[in-house]
Amino acid sequence: MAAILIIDDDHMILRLLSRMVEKMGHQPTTSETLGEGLELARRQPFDVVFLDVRLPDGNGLEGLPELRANGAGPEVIIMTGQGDPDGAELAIKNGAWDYIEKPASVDKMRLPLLRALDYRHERQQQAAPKVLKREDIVGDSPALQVCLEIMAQAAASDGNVLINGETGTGKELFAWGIHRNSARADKSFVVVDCTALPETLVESLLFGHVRGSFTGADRSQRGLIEQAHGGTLFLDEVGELPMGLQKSFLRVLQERRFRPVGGNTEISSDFRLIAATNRDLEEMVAQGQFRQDLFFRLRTFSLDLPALRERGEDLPELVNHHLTRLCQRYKLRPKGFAPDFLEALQAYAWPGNVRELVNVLERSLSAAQDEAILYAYHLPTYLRVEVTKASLRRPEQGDLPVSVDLAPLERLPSLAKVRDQAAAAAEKRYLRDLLARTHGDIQKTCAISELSRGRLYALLKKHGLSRKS
Amino acid sequence: MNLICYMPAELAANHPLRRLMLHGMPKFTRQVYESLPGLERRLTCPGEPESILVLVVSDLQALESLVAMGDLCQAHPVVLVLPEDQDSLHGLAHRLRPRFMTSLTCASAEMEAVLTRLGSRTQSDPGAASGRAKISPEERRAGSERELGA
Repeated sequence: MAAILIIDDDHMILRLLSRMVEKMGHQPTTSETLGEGLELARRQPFDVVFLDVRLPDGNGLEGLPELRANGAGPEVIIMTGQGDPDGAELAIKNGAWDYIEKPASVDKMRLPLLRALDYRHERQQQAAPKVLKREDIVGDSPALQVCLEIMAQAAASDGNVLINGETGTGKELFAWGIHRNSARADKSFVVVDCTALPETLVESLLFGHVRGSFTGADRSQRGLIEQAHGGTLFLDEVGELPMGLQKSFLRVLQERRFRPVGGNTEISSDFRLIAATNRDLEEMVAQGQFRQDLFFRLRTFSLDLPALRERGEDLPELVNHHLTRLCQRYKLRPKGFAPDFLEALQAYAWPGNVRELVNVLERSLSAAQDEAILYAYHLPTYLRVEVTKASLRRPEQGDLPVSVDLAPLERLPSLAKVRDQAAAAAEKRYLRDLLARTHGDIQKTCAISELSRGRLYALLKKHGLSRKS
Repeated sequence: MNLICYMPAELAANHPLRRLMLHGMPKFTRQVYESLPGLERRLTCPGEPESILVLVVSDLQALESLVAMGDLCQAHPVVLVLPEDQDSLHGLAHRLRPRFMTSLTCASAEMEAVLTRLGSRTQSDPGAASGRAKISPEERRAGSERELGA
């Protein structure tokens, strides 16, 4: 008997699905809200979840990663009352089993459930999966779990993989992870950096060339495709691959055969392709900048890596992992970090993702020298400034003395008064936070705030703050 | 743009690659090392801006030593220069995951083009230390060893 969770605020759907599930010999559990559904999934394992999109307390799609990460990773069937192709895409990308539109007949709802249960049954019959070598991939957030699952599937197959993600999200790390977990792990992992190679060089580097094929070719050279024989070819920033070469490369992907520049005979190479990009290839296809047939051929598996800001819960583990690794690399004694250090990191937006985080940790280590604990003070100045500015931009409750749209007209103060009060509140909060960060060090506080010592003391008195505030 | 280059002492003084690394590409700041321990000392200095690592390998032993440094080299984009007619080194060389791999007969113009492209990307990358903001003197720890032509 399988355990089925149904999350929908429509009583009729709940009754209909519950009856269907019971008739199939399984155990239904129902919930009318997303929050309650997530709580149920945290408490007990489910095999399949029917999840409505529009729920009273939120969008069901937002709960999908967490649902998938719970227990035995239930299969999730998304239900919606409205046609929403973007929502469907998001659901499938986040690992939903299927997507059905309401109203749907009982048969239409039964079919995906049957298939999902068959799939789980088959998976359970298989031998225990081998442990995934994660290399430097750190974290357990739902968003990362989805990626690890796809990474494991890709590693077990020999299909082409397309990895999408912003700069610094770890595209090469995942490509390496797929290679290391695949049957080709003992062979070469060959990197082709499409942004680093001038257009004139790419063809001969990829395909190789024979002696005399062009000016300067005074000896034959094996190309990177040939060097990847038996192993993995990693095409980094594939969006930069020149249009002219995309056609030749497509043929290589189809036939695994190619002709070196100036050569008469074809060479075969048995390689597995992993491509990565931070560009929207679909958009490039629409604009005629990337071949559609190559795009389709590349994405047998598609892996969308989350930005660091989308998996903030992984930050403490990432910081711990990389600090330990960096201390080992630089032969430093292990260092800890104070709460304010982590708080500042958590308040930052990380446009450069994990790569930027590692650079920031490295610079903090450098600034801390022999100190055993890292404080926010050790962080690079640009980051501290950014975090402070962001905290000042964020409106806090009570910033404004009145709510303009709620207060009676006769009680509304003048704009000047509102402005003065808001400025005073921001000034007080800035000074309080800055003193906390500098641990009451007046000299540092003056330097960062660009206030004279006299002016700083006057402001502290005005706002009733002390050095230890 | 920063360049760290390891180049064995036996590479001829008038070799185009040596000339390029020591005197070419004025936009790069560079640190050139002729010994592997010197290179290793430099790579174990924390907080330096991200650099492109150019490794000129003379033989299998040198390549093995560089591969053994592993993590230290892979913290940077690697450009690898192998001796001529040494296809047998390719398998081991890929363990360093080079962004560009060539041989000693490579034209200087090609090498310069690749380094310039890598350098401009490193500068514009929001994740790279050098791409965000210069490290202030107080953040920076002295200790980088500059052996030649810096």
